[in-house]
Amino acid sequence: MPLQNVWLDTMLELKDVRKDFDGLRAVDGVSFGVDEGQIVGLIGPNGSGKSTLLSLIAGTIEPTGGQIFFAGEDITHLPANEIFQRGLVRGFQDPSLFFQMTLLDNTLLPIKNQRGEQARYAPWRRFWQQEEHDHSQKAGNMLEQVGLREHFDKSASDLSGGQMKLLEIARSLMGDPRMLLLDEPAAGVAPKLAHEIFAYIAMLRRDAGVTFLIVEHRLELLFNIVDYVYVMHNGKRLAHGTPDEIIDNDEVREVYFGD
Amino acid sequence: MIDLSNIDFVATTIALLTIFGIWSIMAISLNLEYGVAGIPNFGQALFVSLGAYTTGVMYSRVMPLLAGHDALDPCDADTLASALQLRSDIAQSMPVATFVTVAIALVVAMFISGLVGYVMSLITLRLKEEWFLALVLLVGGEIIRILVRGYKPIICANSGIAGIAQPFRSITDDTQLGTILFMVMVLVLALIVYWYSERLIRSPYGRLLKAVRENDAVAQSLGKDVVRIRARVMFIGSAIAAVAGVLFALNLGLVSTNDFVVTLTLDVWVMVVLGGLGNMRGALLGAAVITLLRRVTQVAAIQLNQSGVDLEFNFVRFILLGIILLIMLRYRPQGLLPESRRTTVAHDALLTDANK
Repeated sequence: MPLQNVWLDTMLELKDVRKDFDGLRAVDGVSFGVDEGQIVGLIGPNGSGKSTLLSLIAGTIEPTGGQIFFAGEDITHLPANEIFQRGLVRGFQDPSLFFQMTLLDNTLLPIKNQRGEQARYAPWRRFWQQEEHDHSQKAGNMLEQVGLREHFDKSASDLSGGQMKLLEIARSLMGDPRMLLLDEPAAGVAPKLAHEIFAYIAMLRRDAGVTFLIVEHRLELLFNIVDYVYVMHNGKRLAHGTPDEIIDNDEVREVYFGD
Repeated sequence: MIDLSNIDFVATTIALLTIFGIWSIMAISLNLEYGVAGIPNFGQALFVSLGAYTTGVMYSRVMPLLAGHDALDPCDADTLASALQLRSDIAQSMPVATFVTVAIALVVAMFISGLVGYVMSLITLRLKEEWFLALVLLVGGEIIRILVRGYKPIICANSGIAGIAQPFRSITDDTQLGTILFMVMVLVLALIVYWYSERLIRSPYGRLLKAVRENDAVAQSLGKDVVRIRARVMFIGSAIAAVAGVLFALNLGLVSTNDFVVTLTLDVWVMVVLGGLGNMRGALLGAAVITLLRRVTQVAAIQLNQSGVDLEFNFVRFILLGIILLIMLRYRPQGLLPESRRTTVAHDALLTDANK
């Protein structure tokens, strides 16, 4: 398949990315690009390699072959923390909060360059008290945006499944991401809340210019907001196009919708 | 049957408080590493021993020089007795040399132990996860102990270094006053360590450590260099453990590899699990309970032996510690005093906003 046109404002670009697990090829030569400010969907049946692909991009696991570029920089072999620092932030499929910590602590953690996180400053409050105060205001506003501010003092484990998803998005945003990778943000979430989450994603793109790559099974939600869709099957890119093109694609219907 | 009339309660109290202070420092160190940061350090005995060995080296090599004498070889059979006599004389008559020696021992011990903890953690965590580090520290601690036991130039191999007189003997002839002052010094150091670790965990740094403990993969995805963070907290924890090691040697008056076997590590673990993981007050409580338990079983062992009972009561202590550990892990894994959920002042800031 031909590479998609590469624009100057390409945010994320994958070139022939491969990943083997003990001889099993989970991701088999995938190439694609995501332009800045786009919301791109990544769909495919279970086991088609979508989540693995997100982990490869985010640096949680290392590719066997191929290259990954973010904002023009080769990030293929960077560790996950370095990739986060460059503004590429991932969410997880299962809520991956720090469950024994409060919502506020969860939200404060991703903030970059915190002086108080350095052991040599930490015991002396005067070095970080003002900074921490500013951060907590910012975190409070972020929690407000996702409707969780009143719960800021609760443990994350006390939240409902949908609230956990919201908190995770809020936490991701605290790292000032240029691009967010989301893995099934609406899975296990009540329909009304799922709509709110997707409306929120659309708003973040519109108002904050955040680029998104979203894995999601609930296509009725996803196709409302995405600009472009990639379909994966057996570790390969099966098809790509606008939501309308994907719905009309016979190959996709066969593997994905089962007819 | 049990005769308490020959126990000096004042001396016992002083001794117990001193030992409590020393064990508290060890417990706080492990609580910072495991309770807060989730690093299972099974090598606590190693880091404590590094403090003790350093003290032995400083007393035998550096203190005579500070007092204006030549350092005699403390291990050689010909000079052993005179070297011991020289140490004792200095420690009983020259306060400046003595206290400078103790200060140097503290600083050097903290640095060496911290560096060992940092490097071992950094190398090991690059390869595997934290439970592999636990084994490396456990085995590494024993290997280093056996090396020191066999290599004469450090603390004279298995004969150890005696005559590590308590520093306050240099300013007073009153033995009891000397032990009281030493007790005060130990408790003040324990208080400083407690205060420091409390401040550490109630800061953004404490939040970072807890996040690494709860889910290191997610913390890494949120921009945190997990391996380096763990190695750094091992530096701090190991340095603190070395302080306990210096005090341990000063309190005992003797440095010997026999004191730093694995059971020391296990005692500290029971303290932390009993008191409460992640709660520094819990570490103090655990240290107090286990210190008392150790002393009671030791006294009972002596008393029982004197009254002709054929039972090695010291082993009962190990059984009791094991039972405590099992009961806590089964029924109250968070410990007697659980960790507080909040970390920094940030929560107070939002609370005051909410109440406006």
